[in-house]
Amino acid sequence: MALIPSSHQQQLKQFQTRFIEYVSKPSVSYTWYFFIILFFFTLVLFPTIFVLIYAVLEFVIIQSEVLSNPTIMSEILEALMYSIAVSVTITIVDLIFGLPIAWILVRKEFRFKSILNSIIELPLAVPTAGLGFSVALFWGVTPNVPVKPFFALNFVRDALPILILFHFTTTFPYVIRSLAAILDEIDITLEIAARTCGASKFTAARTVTLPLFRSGVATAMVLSLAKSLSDTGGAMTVLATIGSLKQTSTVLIGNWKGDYQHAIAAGKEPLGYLLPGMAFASVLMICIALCLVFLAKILAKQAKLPFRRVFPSIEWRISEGTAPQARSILSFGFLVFFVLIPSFFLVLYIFQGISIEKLLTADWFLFSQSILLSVIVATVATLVNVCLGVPMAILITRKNHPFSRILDALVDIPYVVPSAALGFSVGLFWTTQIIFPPNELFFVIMAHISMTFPFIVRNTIGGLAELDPAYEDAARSLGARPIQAFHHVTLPVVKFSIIAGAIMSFTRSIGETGATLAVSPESITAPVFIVALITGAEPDYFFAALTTVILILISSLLIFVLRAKVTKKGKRKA
Amino acid sequence: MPNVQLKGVSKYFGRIKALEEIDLEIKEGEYVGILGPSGCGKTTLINCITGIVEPTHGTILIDGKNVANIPIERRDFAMVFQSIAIFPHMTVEQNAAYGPFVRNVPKQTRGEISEEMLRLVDLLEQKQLRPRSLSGGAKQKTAVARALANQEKLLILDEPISALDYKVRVSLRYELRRLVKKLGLTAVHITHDQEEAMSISDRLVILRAGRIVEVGTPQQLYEHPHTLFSMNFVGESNFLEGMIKQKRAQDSYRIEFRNNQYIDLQGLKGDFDQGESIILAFRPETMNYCSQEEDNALSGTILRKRFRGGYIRYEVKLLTDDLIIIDSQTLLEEKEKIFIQIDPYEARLFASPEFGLKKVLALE
Repeated sequence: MALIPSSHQQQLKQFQTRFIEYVSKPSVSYTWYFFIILFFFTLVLFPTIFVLIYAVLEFVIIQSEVLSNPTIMSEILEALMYSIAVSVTITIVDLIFGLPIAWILVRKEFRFKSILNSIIELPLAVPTAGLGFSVALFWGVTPNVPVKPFFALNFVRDALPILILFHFTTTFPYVIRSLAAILDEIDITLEIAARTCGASKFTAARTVTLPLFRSGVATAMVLSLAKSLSDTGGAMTVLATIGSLKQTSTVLIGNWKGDYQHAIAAGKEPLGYLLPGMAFASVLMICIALCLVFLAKILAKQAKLPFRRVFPSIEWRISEGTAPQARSILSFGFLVFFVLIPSFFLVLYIFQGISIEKLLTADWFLFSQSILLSVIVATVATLVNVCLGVPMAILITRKNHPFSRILDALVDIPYVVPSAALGFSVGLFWTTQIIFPPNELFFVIMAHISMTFPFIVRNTIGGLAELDPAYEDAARSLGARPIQAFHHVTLPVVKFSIIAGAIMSFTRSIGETGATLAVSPESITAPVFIVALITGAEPDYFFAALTTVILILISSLLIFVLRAKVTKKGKRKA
Repeated sequence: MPNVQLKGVSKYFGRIKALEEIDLEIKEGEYVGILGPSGCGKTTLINCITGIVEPTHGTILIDGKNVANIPIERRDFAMVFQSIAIFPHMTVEQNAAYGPFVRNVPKQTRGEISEEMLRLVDLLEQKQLRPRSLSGGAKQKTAVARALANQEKLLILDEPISALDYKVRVSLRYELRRLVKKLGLTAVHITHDQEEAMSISDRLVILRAGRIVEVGTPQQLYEHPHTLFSMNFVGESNFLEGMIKQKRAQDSYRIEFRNNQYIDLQGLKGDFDQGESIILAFRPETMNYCSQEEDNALSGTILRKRFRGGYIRYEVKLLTDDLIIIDSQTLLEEKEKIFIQIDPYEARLFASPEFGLKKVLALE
């Protein structure tokens, strides 16, 4: 700074003051918020559910090509049944195991707690396409994989159990984290008070903490439902690895979109049922997802918990002596065995399968291109989301307007809509519109923006909710303009939430298959590349595993750099 | 029968010594107040008795039984919390019946017990309400009813009324004492409010920086405290630093203060030698004063007067450079000259502390 001549500095300062005055004008800030809302409705929300409009407009074609074609209908319905069965089962399993483990993580003090806390987050960095292969490798009977690591269990043969095991590894870390965060908010004194009344630990947790935890349970249920309904790449690789021909609804959309695009690329007319079929499947998936989420919320609020009676002697036995110890160890082992080992099993495979020949014959060009594409898409989508999502969050929390409530409810929709349906819908929207020139990369980025927008907004809202608006008012009363108050008071506090949201958005985007495939099968991002390697006619499992590991490294590096930067800046200011 | 004994109880949190070598015995049927400034270890002491934390050293006996490693729910006591901690998802009645409920007492008996307890705290009319529609006082009464419904003989009250409004606080504290005495319970009541502690306790324990400073009845501690800290912390006091100029008899001294001011006092307790540094302490309402010059009096000027309701508080600057307070019902004017005679039977003499008066009186 010292090198800049002082006149420059003065100019800069003048410019800064003028800028602050300019953006503080009511007209400017209104225009800005109007732009944000406009962006959200036209470019995030509308494309996400565009397929609903399409289905209504083109109902005649759907009627003739899909509804009246029993083979197609049964294929769609079977895939949907699989999706529903898997996600409902997963939600129940997640809750049954998630509640006690989250409780132990929050309420118990033990030696490896902080390690366990960070280990739980690790599987989140693995792209689901690779995760699917890893899980199938660990549990499944895999006729096509030539050499398997020594520890592979090799016993799951059917599609349904392996899909459940796979979705467990993808959803459980999310569920645990959100349950633990909300549980942390419940005053522990209540549990102690219950115990001073003679309740055993188990009774106290069951009769006092659990009933207060409904909102947490609802959040966790929505999380695991949405995540398990959405996943495409993982389901594709899991099923391909065990050689199953079954498909979930997301897989179905991915496959059909592939067929459709291949036909167009080959200059042929695509089969008539493909486009309306995908639209129909997407509509059904969106409806089912919204219904399930709605049901889950109702259930969590209304369900009568087992609260009527207490069985002191049994509950004592669970709470005392060796039982809690055994429980802690058991849940720890459970996490390791069902989540951690399956997630990282493919690393073993790399060591086993590595050879010079494989490295030489691999398609390094496509490999680096796909990784580059993934990084570009994820970075652009995340940056755009940070710029537009943070004001959106402010709009929702800080402006007391009836409109804020509506926005608050609508923001989550892209998150609940299964990503393959979202991708299809967004793709349909962009190919139908006539304003922007068609560009596959642009469409993919827009789909990723829609898909990850809720992450940034939700996280920022969480951070803003923690911060008392009185601080901002205090800054304003001292003469700060709104933008200055935000910069000096709000931003330093919510910075961490924004970063957390950005990390979630980036990792989600870099690991996403379904949306990308459904928008544009031409855009080979890294997860699409992995899926292609595994589901192809001559699967190259080794190279798929290697790509996955490199993606994990890129995500981890980014997370590390972002976190380090944030803490460093914080220190410098302090 | 409940009889709580602490023997050499210490609790360390890392390097911080929250409690050190606490020896205390609480007898059956006693209402014991534990009084100390914030951060003195009161809550840690209670947490050790209740089992919320385990002491680092020492033993705790309840009813003669060592309670080490016995979990909270197996120790026989009931508790009222500062944060009130009534269950927000249950009605007043369900809260009051929680203890019998978790012991699987039949529904009918459960109802009778909660009914009786709610009658005791006068909350029967509000028994169907949920906590969020109750006033602060009613919430804490619910918590008391819930504690009493356990029908334990030992009641632990952790700053039970500190979070309430002044008027509610005053009425509730007598209510608590009345209930405890009526039901024949043993109570341990923690507070940082010395007025509250004095007005309810049979016996007071003064805690400071993790150690017991003094134990005694409220009257003993007010009138004859053994330490400067309790003299200062219980009630209000004036402290004059001085020196024994001359010792005439066992209890007769000439004491010299700054600026060559001195007085003769006869009837003071304590044995001090000539030349020893001392601190003369006395309560604001215990001295005689008049506006005419008198023998054996300390003279000063009234700096400020404050109306306090039943009395007027005067801040007086003495010729010794000390600032003291006097509570009186007589009307005097600011800037008026005043002569003060100290009543030797009410005043206390302490040896001058090694590290200075400020350090000894400091709350932490």
